[in-house]
Amino acid sequence: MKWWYTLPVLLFCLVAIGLWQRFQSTEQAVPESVAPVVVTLVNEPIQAIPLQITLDEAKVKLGEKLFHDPRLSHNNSVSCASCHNLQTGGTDRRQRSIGINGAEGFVNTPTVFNSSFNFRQFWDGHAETLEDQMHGPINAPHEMGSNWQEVMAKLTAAPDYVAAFAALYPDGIQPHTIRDVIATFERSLYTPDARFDQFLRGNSEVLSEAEKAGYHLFKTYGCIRCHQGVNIGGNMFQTFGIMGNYFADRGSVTPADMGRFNVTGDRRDQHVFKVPSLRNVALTPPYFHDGSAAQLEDAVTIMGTYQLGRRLDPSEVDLIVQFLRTLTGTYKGRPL
Amino acid sequence: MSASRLRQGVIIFGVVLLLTFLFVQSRVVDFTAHERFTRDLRRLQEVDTTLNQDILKVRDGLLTYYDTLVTASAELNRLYQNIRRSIPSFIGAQGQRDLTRLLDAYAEVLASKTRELERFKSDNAILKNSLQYFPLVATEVAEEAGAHLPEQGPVTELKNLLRDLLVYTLLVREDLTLHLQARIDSLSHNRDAFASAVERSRLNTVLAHAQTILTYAPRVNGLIAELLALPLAQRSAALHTAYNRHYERALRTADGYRLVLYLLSVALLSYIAYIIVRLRQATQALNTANEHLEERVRERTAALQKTTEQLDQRNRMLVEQQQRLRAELADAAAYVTSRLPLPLTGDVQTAWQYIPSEQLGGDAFGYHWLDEDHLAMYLLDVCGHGVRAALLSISIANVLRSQSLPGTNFYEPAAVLQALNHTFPMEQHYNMFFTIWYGIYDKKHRRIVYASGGHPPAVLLTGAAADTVQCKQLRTPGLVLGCMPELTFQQAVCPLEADSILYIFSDGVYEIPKPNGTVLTFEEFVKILTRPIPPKHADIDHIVHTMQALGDSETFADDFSILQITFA
Repeated sequence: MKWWYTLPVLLFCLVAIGLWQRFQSTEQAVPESVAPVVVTLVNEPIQAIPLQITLDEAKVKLGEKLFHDPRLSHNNSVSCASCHNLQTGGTDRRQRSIGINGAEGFVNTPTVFNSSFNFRQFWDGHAETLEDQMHGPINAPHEMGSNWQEVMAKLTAAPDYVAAFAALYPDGIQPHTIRDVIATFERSLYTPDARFDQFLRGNSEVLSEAEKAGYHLFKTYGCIRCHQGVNIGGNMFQTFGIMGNYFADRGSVTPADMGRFNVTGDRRDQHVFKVPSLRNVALTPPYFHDGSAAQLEDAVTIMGTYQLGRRLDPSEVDLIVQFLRTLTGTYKGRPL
Repeated sequence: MSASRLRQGVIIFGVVLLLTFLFVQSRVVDFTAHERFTRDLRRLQEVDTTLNQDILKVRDGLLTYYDTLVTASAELNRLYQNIRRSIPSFIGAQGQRDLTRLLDAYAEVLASKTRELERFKSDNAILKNSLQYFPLVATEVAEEAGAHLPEQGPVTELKNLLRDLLVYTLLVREDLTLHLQARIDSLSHNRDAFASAVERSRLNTVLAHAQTILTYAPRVNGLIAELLALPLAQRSAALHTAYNRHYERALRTADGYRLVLYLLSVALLSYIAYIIVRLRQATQALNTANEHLEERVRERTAALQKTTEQLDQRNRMLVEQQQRLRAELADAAAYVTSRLPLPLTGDVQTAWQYIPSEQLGGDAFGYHWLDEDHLAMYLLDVCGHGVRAALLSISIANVLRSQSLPGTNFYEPAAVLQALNHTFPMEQHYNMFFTIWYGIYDKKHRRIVYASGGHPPAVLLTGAAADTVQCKQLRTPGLVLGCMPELTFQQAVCPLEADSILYIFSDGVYEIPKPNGTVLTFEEFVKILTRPIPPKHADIDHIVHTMQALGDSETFADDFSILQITFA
């Protein structure tokens, strides 16, 4: 009767295989967690930048190299860092940046620092992500004047890049892997531990009375209504010139001045721009999309005039500017 | 390979293919993909709910920044993209179409929501700004104007506007809109009343903020109502329901395949079990047959062994018996030989040669002096050979030697033969008859008286020299003895000259079959006896050797006995 044993054994094997496979599949079914950037919430409209954000260090390193590599431009003259100079607050501090062959841009270059906290990229918000953003400067004839095929070809010719990409991605150098690497690097460009962040974390002594008064005015005059959140801006659109016609006063309106209208075509989006972040704002003159305000004080005054309808007192401007200077953070542990 | 082998292979391959197909089909529902998909669907609803809550919090000032709205909105878009990308492959074509259609509908609403949300964020910022700033600036302006202007009039109007606007926004009294608009318009018309006290631009700002509040408050409320009314939750619920329907359909289909797989597996197992049982039965039957066979082989072997032993035993007995018989025969032969006479010397010399064809022969011979002058000589041949012939021949010889035939004159050969014929009839002696030559040598008269019955004649050679030798055949016309009791015999007389040799012999001596198939005749034999001149003492062995050479054989077919008597 030996064969009687073979039946249960076979059935057991079948069941075991089935269960094993199921067990395997439930193991795989554990959701892969996208580590969200945890912001410590405080009861203020402004939130502190996390002190530490975990990223793939290899990608960050490679991204930093690419970020500084002029081969990304058509004639190898302009790198990302040419306009987003990390030494000068992530901008070139020019009203309009100079691309390849001396071409001038249409808007002022925003800082690359903390750009990962922005809900959209560009003044008119036409890019949803950092990865999307890169299409702009790479392809724009007045910026890098290149294209992904060209960039890919150049990088593929460089053995160190080929090796570095091969180590990170199965498909090696591809437009999407290049973008991923650079975006990862840009996500590392966060500037925590500004004095104001220390204040938000409970250290009330870190700010002077004047700076606190400046913050108070900032809130009282409604600046906080748009410049809020972790990036003190960068999370909404707003019309430039609510209480006055800034563009009429300034004159010589350019297509870029139409703002988000250029993206949506909606009449209500005329002169609507992404509210810029005020992080490290003291380091990133000139101000506004047109780079028209050379000094922070000018910018605060213009904002008061056109967004609030109030001619701010120089002393008030000074207090607010003092507050704004507390927003300068640190990068890689050193003050910017 | 044979056709049946090929067919078998094809069938096995087909079954394996079918099993694999069923197995794959039964496991087509990828639970990982299902869980990920439903998780995203659930999360879509959760995030939407959170977003709606946050919108309300923002309106009520419980939330003073938009990061959570941005995060939620981005999450919704991300989840939507995820879901769109990862519709599980086990959902059929119809399901894929259904879900895609529902996703399109969802995307439409989601786009509206995103758009409206942006509008809400901007408008709410403007409204909240004016709501905060208007009381401040209105109070400032009212105070400034109050210092220069009478209490009644435009200043009061401004204060009333402030009060009514606050009531309007606090209590959401949209019915006051027209009333407030009238107040703003009135103040706007009366701007000049403030001219002396307040900068025109400042008053404009106040009115602008008032107008902003009046315009944006219903707009923001409308946006909120619109945002909350957008059927995003319904669309995602519909998506979820449709997905579940198609998921269950896929599960049912997979279950069907699984059922078929199980049934087929059970059938296959049963078949295998059946084959195993059959195999076992066959093996058992074979074993049983084998055991039986072994048993039978054992039995047969034992029987065979027994038989062999019996045979051996019988063989041994036979051999013993034969040995005994042979010994007895040898004894008998020795006895027969012992009864043969010793050679005579002197005037009459004798020599003989006796070679029986078997151990015992039917021939017998002898000679003895009846008195000083008479020598009896005889040679007889009983028909046949062997023991019975030997017994009879020895009996007859003994009778002759002992002369124990009552009333018979042993000097008369015819009388002797007659008496023998009478004494040994074949009826009493096992149907055996015999031939005999009997002679008397009469020394005094120098003659031989003789008689024979059915016997070859004796040969008498006379003469010393070879060329002068004379040959006489001593024959009488007598028949074989033992057949007819009343038979009479004749006797003859032959004178004997000097140097005569008498040969008496049985027919076995000359009836020799030659190699050419013919048999030696008596006359040829006589010539052989005659032709070589025999020396004085003829060597009888010489005759034996000659006959052996003629027959090309050491042995003889019949008894060979020859008696040579030489007379001086």
